[in-house]
Amino acid sequence: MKVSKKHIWIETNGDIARIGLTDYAQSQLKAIMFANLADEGDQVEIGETFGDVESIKDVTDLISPVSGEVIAVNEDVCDEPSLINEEPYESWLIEVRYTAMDDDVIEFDEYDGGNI
Amino acid sequence: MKFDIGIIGGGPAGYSAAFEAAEQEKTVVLFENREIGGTCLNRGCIPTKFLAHTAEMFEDVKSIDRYGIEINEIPNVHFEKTKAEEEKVVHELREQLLTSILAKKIEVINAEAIIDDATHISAEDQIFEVDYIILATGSVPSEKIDVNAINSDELLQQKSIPKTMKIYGGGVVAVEFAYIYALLGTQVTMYFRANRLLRKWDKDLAKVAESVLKSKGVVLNKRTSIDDYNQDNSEVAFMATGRSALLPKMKSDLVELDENGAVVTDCNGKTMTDNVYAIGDVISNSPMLAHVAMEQGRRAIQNIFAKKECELNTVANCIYLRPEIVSVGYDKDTAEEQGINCLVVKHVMYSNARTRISSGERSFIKLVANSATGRIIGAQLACERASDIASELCLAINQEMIVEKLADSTRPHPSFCEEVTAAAQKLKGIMDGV
Repeated sequence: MKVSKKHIWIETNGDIARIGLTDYAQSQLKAIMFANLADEGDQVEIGETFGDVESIKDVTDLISPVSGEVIAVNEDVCDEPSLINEEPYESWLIEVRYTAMDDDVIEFDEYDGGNI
Repeated sequence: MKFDIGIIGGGPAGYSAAFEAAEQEKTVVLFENREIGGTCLNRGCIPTKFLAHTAEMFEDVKSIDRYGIEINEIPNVHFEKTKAEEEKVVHELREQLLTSILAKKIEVINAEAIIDDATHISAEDQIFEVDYIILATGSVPSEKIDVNAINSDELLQQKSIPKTMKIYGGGVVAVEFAYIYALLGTQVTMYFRANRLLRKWDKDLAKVAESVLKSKGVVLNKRTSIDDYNQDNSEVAFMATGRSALLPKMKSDLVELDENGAVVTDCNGKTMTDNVYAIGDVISNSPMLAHVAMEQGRRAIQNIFAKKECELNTVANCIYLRPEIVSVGYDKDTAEEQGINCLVVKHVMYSNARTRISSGERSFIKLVANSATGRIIGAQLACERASDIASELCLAINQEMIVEKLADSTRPHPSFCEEVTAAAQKLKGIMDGV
């Protein structure tokens, strides 16, 4: 697993990247009330938003660490956004058939939340 | 008989034009072959809002124990009584409208009008000579792909609540009826071709509609065809596939029609014939909104008699769910399509006291500003009273107000609209680089 500087984890399998929000990010946001994600078939680009998550006080953009086509959206987290708080590494957000990945991503073991 | 102006159609466009002309002391003859008030009052906005209000009250009663109010009987909807009361309200409003029209000495002819030429209209074996003609004949539901289905006019005639209903279409009419009937207890299943409802709307707003409907048990079948819909054996089949312009009978070619059969006009409402105007749903690219039709009616008269040129105004598009969904002016995508660099802020209302006290539904306000000028150019709202809050945002956009001015206005607390202040302050912060 890799992590971007925008606190998005990436798990790859061939040319498929499954991405989600890190434990550190969800803990900073507190209770996540709504996840607004890209649709299947949408194109996402490195450094561009692929949706946002709403907490009680604010809205946080989700910045994509990959470019490619969204092939799946986790409807479970759309229906129950608190899953992101409860199981951040199980609660993936979208799957992308990716063609490029941000050069700045780091290995999960090197990730230290706020000190990224 | 000779009149300054002949208006064909007594809906919001037609009667607003008639009022404006009467205000300017012109003689007016208004032709309407159905009920005065048009689609809006008789087969559209008003009956559906009555049903939506009924459905929401039914829902509220079921969860009223939250407020410590105990109701010992299981609530039930007696739909015949609901429909009778709806018809009573519509009837009363129609009578009041007719009284206002007659008080202004507007001649009303309850008959089909036929345009003989640019200065003559026939009705009831009489010929009316007029200096100007205004077409305000409105629209009707588009032809049904499924001939066995009912359209919105026919759905409003239903005297009972069906157990199951299938809807073909994913636009505003489909969404509002799905919402109403789901609250009334119908199992509603929707079929639409796009990958989301309300494909012409801002995606955030469309997602609100989807999540509201899903929470009421509506099944959304995205990317489906009429074949999928045909396999569903629901009790009621409802086609909500748009509306088409309804033209009056004309003996000569006085107006140009677009590819959809709607009348082409300039922004004042003038057609290719100088003294023939068209307003409301019958015109090309009409947003099919009553408040736009009314404004077009007033403007057409001002152009005819005062030679005043129209100015394009921003208007609100509303969907009456809970929360209400409203779009005003540009959203991010439409601004970018026009080559406008914009900044967008989305402000959530989970901490808004009035929202917490009432429905507690997820709510937000998005504001869009031109990043070069700092002016407000659009807003998207999903919150209670959004259709009311939209008025001040329309005004701000039409007055080319900068974000700072919008943020500086003091709004009541507690209120829903106080979140406009918070959203504008956030947007100003982004613009200032804070």
